[in-house]
Amino acid sequence: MISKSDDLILVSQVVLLNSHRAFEKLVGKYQSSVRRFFLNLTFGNEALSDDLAQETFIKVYLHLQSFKGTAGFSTWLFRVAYNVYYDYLRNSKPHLEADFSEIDPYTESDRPQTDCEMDVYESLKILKPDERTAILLFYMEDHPVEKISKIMNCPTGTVKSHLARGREKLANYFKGTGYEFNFG
Amino acid sequence: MSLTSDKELKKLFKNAGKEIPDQGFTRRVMRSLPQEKHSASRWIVWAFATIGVLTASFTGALSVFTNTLATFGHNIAHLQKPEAPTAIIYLMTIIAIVGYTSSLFKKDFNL
Repeated sequence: MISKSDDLILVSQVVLLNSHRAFEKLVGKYQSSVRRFFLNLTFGNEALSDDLAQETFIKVYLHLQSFKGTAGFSTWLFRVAYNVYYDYLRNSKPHLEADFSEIDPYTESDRPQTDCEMDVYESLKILKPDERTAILLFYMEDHPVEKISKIMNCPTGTVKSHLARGREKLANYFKGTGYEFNFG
Repeated sequence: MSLTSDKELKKLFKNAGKEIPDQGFTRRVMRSLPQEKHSASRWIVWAFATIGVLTASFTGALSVFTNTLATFGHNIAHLQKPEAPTAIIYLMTIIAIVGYTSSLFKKDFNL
């Protein structure tokens, strides 16, 4: 397990010594959370989420020298991921949301999807992109509101509003579908 | 059970958000990195090399070093056994040149 201070050591090795091995460790540590973040933002489109995650890590590598270390590396990494996602949204609009809605994760994915994952993908479709991002970072990635505000570059109050609206929409959605929990 | 509370949402999302196995993703990222990006490392090497050479020339160490190398070369040319300090300096110089060259080669070919 790599700690936060280890992150900084690895970052400095990449910046000063151009160590590919150090960068490989960082990618290995964070690949799962970044790919999961994109996988949910794209409603289970594995190929697209992997492309976006790859683009994120390449951008991180290219701009690592601008990482000041005031926020944690993971905050900065998710900030880059957030920008990659929004760049993609901007460049793909107006087709993107429609395209995402048509995605069937059962056929788009090489990895078996659980019912729970399918329910989450479906529920995320009713949210606006900002609400979706805030909800995912808060409920799935366990990031506190302050960290989410740094990632989304907006005040904490705005994040709380996104979360409140998203939570309300999800509650109504799940009530409407008569969702029953079965966590086995 | 209806989904209304924060706790229930968190549970649902945590349950859906499982670890994603790497399955070659890290390798693909590493392969797609640009070959030459961080000029900082080379800049630092050249900066310190320049400072080192200037310091050595001001303190006279540089002329001692070159004289030692010249003596070593002279000894080799006349098939004489070099003194131990001269041989050590010569070997260190060879190792430094070989080390730096191989590091450049490694970077250029991304080995």
